[in-house]
Amino acid sequence: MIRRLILLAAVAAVLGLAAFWFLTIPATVPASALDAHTPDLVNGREMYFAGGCASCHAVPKQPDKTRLGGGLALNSPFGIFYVPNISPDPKDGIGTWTDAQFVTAMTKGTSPTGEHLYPAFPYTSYQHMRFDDLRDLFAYLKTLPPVSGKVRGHDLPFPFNIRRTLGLWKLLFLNGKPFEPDPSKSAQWNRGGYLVNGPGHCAECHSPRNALGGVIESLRFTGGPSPDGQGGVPNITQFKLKAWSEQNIADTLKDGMTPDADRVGGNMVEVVRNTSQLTEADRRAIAAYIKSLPAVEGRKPPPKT
Amino acid sequence: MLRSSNGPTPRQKLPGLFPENSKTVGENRASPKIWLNKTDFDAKAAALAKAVAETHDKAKSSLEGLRAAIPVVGKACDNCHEDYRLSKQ
Repeated sequence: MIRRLILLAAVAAVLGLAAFWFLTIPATVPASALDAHTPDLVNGREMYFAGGCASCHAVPKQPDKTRLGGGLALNSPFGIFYVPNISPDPKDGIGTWTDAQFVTAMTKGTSPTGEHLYPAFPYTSYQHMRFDDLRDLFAYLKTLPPVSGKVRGHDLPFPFNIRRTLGLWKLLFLNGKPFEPDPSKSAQWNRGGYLVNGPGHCAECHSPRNALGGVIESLRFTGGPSPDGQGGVPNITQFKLKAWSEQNIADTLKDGMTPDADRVGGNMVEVVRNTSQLTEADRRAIAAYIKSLPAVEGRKPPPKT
Repeated sequence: MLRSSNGPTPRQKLPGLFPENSKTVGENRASPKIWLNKTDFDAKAAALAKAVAETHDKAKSSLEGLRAAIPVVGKACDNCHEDYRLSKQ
């Protein structure tokens, strides 16, 4: 009797592990899914500043933001992430990656060696980008200087250091779909929606997260505690931005000054370093989309202890 | 802010407005990092004073002068706020 129970338990465990294994297979985009494409470096540069790549990937504590050798330490509730080298260095960066590998990383969160990437890298937003834009971005990245040096691995306690478990996380929080335009809205609004939800990844900071670190969908854009534990991130729905016009929003993204002559602070200073490099049309498009976000009250911030 | 003819200007008083015992006074957005990096904080406050002093006359001269001065002063504001002023939810 006991022997039979033990056998049953063993079979259940094997089946459970097999199911886990299948459910968590890292998804990839095969090269066959990509058509012939001539890179557009002007578009690539726009995607680069919309995506804010340098803000995480530039070598910290030095003034040249084109050196994407990584090394920045990102604090999180799950441990410390060390941002990798995405310079075009062939040995220590992404210089030998194919277009398919780059698109796979950005839209599926899977590395060229077939491992899950941690969503501290916001592929939950980048997944909405179009392949053409991603390939233009990749081409632009390859014009930047190669930087040698591999960055150390992340400092994550068990079980967060088991990459395979991210397969389950992705089942919960990734829909794997490009941005779906709304035909009832203007081209400008749709462009803004694409920039905000795709490369801009605004909601990644401007939303509260659940215990698993996923964005709480119903409260997207309503702000929350800062991901790195320093202060808070504001609500950018009409609950808080009612008094701001579209032009106000666009202007703030251009120079960091709010309509009441305050300055945006904290991590938003770095964001404006990027959005100030976009075209005025793209800033206006972002503004049109943000202005359209229905008013949603965010959660109250935790009391100061 | 009005400039008194005697005594320090607001920008010159700035570093002295953050003594050790002001850390937890009321609702404030001062990051604890200020007191861990006081030398850096004071240097950035000094940089603000310098930016204002250098653009002061131009800013007062005309609208164009003001337009040119604002980003210069704004950058000095941002350099400090980025690390030392907590954003609000």
